[in-house]
Amino acid sequence: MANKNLKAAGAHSMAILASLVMVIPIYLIAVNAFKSRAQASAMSMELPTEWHFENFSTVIAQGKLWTSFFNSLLYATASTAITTLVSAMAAYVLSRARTRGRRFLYLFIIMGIALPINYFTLTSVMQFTNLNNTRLGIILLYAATQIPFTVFLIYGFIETIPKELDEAAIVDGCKPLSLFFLIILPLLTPVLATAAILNFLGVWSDFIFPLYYLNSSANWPMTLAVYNFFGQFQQDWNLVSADILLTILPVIVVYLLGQRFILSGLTSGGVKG
Amino acid sequence: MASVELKNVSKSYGSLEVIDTLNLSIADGSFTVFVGPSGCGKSTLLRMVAGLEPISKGDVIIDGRRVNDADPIQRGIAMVFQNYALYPHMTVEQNIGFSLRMAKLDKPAIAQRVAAAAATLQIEPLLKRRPAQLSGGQRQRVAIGRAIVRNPEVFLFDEPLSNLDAELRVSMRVEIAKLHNTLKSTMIYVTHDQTEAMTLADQIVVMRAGKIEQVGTPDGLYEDPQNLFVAGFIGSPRMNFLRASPSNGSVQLEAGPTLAISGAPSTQDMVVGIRPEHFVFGGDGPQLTITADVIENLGGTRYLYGTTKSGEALIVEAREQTGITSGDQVSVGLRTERALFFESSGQRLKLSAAS
Amino acid sequence: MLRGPYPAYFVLPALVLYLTFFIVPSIGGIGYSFTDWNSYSTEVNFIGLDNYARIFSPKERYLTYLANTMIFAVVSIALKTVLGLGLAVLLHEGVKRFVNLYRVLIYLPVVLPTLIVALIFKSILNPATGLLNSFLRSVGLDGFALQWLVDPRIALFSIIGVDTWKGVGFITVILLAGLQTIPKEYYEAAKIDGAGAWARFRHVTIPMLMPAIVVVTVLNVLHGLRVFDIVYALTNGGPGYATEVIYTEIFKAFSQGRFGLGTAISSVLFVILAVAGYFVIRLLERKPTR
Ligand SMILES: Nc1ncnc2c1ncn2[C@@H]1O[C@H](COP(=O)(O)OP(=O)(O)OP(=O)(O)O)[C@@H](O)[C@H]1O
Ligand SMILES: [Mg+2]
Repeated sequence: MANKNLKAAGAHSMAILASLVMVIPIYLIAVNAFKSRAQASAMSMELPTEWHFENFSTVIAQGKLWTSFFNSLLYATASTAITTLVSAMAAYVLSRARTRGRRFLYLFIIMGIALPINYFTLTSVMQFTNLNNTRLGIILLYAATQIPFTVFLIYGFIETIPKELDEAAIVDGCKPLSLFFLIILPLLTPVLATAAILNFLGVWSDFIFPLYYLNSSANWPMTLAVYNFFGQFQQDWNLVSADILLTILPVIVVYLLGQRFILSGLTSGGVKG
Repeated sequence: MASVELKNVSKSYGSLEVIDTLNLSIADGSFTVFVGPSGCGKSTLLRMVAGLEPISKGDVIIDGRRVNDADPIQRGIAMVFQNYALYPHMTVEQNIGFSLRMAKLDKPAIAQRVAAAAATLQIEPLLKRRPAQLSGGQRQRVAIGRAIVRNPEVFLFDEPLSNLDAELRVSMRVEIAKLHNTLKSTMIYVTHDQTEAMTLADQIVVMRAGKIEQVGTPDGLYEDPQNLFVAGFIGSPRMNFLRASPSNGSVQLEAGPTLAISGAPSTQDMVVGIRPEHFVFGGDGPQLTITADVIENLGGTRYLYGTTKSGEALIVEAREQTGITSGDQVSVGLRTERALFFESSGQRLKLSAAS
Repeated sequence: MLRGPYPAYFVLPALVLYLTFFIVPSIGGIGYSFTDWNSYSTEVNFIGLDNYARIFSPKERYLTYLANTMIFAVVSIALKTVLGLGLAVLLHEGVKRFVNLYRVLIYLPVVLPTLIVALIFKSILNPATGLLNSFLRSVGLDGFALQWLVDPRIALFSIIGVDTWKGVGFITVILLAGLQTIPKEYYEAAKIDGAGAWARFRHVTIPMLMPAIVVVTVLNVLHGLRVFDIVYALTNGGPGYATEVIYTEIFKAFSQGRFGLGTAISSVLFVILAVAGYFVIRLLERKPTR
C-alpha cells in the first residue's frame, strides 16, 4: 500500500515537473511585463518590486497594437471562415460520391499537407492577381494553405454520417444546396469546431506570409508587429514581455475554451491512424 | 393515390446486373410486399421507384406518368428507412415538418399538418424531443410520421421493422396494417420476414437474383407456388422436400411410401413437397417412418424435427402428440391431397395425388 | 439522385484556391529553377542545370544547409517521440487524477506562436542573464551553463531543444489518446501469461501504439524539413552558418533577389516532400485496424 502511494506521488511529481517546464516561460513573460526596465533586464522569476501597469499602455501606443490586433483578428477569422466552409463542401462531395476521379482529386488535395510552398513563384501569382501587399491577399493565402489538412479532417468525419440521412432529405425535397446547408453542415459541427480552432490558432501564430507578402506595417498582424517591436526595444524586456503577453493572451483564451475540440478532432481516427 | 408500373426495368452496376428486365404492376391502393433472400435486389428495386437510384433500362410509371427522370419529390412518394434516418439535430416536430418546409408551406399550415400526423401515430408528447431521446419504437413512429405528413401517393418501406425487438415488431406490424386501411394509399414494403409479408400484403412479389419468381396473393403463393424456390420461401417452418421418382401412375418416395397420382410426369427425378402442417398421425394415408431428432415445443403447437430412412430431414407439426422424445421411431401419415410435385430442376408439375 | 445530390461544383472554390496559391507556384517554380531569374534584372534567361549544379556543389554551402535541416528534423523527432511517449505513459498509467489538467498544460506550448516562443527563449538562453544558466549556476552546475545560442557547436541543438519544448505536447496528446484506446484485456491476458511491466510495455503497448507513432513521426518529418520561424527568430542561421537551414536560406535568397536559385532550392524540397507526402497519404489513408 505504502509502495503504491509512493509510486503515485512519484508520478505526480514528474507530471507536475513537466507541467512546470511548460508553464514557467509563460510565467516569466507574465511577471516581467509588470516590472521596470531595470528589473526586467535580468528576466528573472521574482515578482515585480513595483507593478508597472503603464507598460501595457506604452506598448499599445508604441507598438500600434490595436491595428495589428485587428489585422490578426481579421486574418484569422476571415481565412478560417473561408477555409472551413470551402473545405467542408469539397470534403463532403468527395467523400459521398466515390468515383475514381473524385478519389484522385481528394488525394491530390490532401497531398498539400506535405508539399512546401514556393515563395518566389507565389510572389508572381500574388502580383499577377494584384493581391501582393493586400489584406485580402493574405486572407486568401491562409485560406488556401489550410485547405488540405481541413479537407482531410472533415472527410474522415463525413464517413460517420449515415448516407440514409441524405436520402431521407432528398425524398423530403432537398436540393444539393439545401441538403448540404440544412442537414449535413449542422451535423458537422464538432469537426468544424476543431478545424476552425486549429486554423484560427494557426493563422494567429503565423508570421511567415506577412514577412514575405506584406511590406506595409499598417497591415501587419500581431506576430510580425511583436517581432518588429523587439527589434526596436531589445533592451526593454519589460515592454517586450508586455507586448508578448498581449499577443498570446487571445491564443491562450481560445485554446483553453476550445481544447476539448482540438483534442477530440486530433484523436478521432484522423491523425491517430 | 396512384398505381405503379415497372416496364422492363434493369439496373446494373458496371457489369453487375442487379435487376434484370423486370415487369410488375402495382394497383392503386394496394399493399405490395417484396420478399426474397438477402442481396436479391429488393432494396434496389424500391429505391428505383423512389428515385434514389438511376434506372439503367426500362420505365417506371407512377400514376400513368413516366418518372424515370423525376426527382423523388416530383414522384409523390415518401419513404421509411430501415434505420429511420431521422435528422439528429432536429426535434421530432421539425423532423416531421421538414418536407413541408422544403415545399415552402407557411408555418401555421406546417404546424397543423404535423399535429395531425402526430395525432394519427399518438406521438404528440414526443414532439419537442430529439431522436436521440427516443426509443426504437418511437423513432419508427416518427419516421412513419415524416412519411404520412406529406400525403404521398405511394409509401415505400425498406425493412422498417427489422431493428425492433420481436414484440414491438408485431405491434408495429398491426399498426402499419391499420394505417393502410385508413389512408388507403399505395404501399410498397420490403422485408425478409415472410410473416410480415403474409400478414400485410395484398400482393407478394417473390424475388431472386434480380428477377421476379412469382407474384400473387399470400394465399395464392402458399397454395399454389410455381416452383421449388417460392414453395420453400413462403410458409414457416418451410416446406419439406423429399426426393422421388415416378413410375406408372404413382410416385415412389425414396423415404418409403408410394403416392398414387393422376397424370404422367415425363421426368426421371422429381421432388415432392409437403408442408409440416400437412401430416397426420394415424389415419390410413401413406405412412412415413422417421427418427425424431429434436422436438420443439412452442406451447400452442410443437414441431418434430426428424430424419427419414433415406436420410432426408423432415419437419412435422405435431400439435397433439405429447409423448414423443428424441430418438423415437415415429410413423406419420401424409395428407396426399396437399402434396405438391416439382421437377428436379425446380419447376412445378401440375399433378395431383389420386384419392 | 438523378441530377446528382453531390455536384462537382462543390469542390470548385477549394480547388481554385488550392491550385492558384499552391500548385501553380510549385509547378511554375520547377520551370523557373532553370533560369537566372532575379530582382535586379527584368531579363530571365534559361541557364539549364546551373542552379542545381550550384546547390549540389561541395564548394558551396547548400549541402550543409540541407544537412542542418536533416539533423534538425531527425534529432528533434527522436527527442519529441521519446519524451512524448514517456509523458503519455506517465499520464496514462502513473497519475490517476488531474490527467486532464496536466494534458492541457503540456499541450499549451503547441498553440503558442513559434516566433513568440523563440523570443522568450532568446531571453531564457541568454548566457549571462538567462533563466537557464542562472538556474544551473544556482544549483552548482556551472559547467553546464553553456553559450547556448552563441557557440556554433551547440547552437543547432539549442534550437532543437526549444522546438522539442514547443512540440512534445502534440505527440504526448496523440499517443495518450492512442494508449487510452488499447483494450484492458490485452494487458490482463499478458499478465496471465506472466509478462512483467517491461514485457507488457514492449509487447503490448508499443505494437498497439505503432500506427499512432508512425503517423506523428511522419507529420513531424514534414514539420522538421520545413522548419523556418524558430531558426529565423532565434539565430537567423548564425552564428556564422552554423544553424542555416533550407528555409532560412530561401528567405535570404528571396530578400536578396536570387529568385532562380531560390526556386531551385524550393524545387528540390518539393521533390523530397512530394515523396514523403506520398507515404503520408498512404499512412493517413489506411483505415485504423482497431
Ligand atoms: N452501389 C452498389 N454497387 C455495386 N453493387 C451494389 C451496390 N448496391 C447494391 N449492390 C448489389 O446489388 C445487389 C442487390 O442489393 P440490394 O441492396 O437491393 O439487396 P436486398 O435484396 O435489399 O438485400 P437485403 O435483404 O440484404 O437488404 C447486391 O448483390 C448488392 O451487392
Ligand atoms: Mg435491402
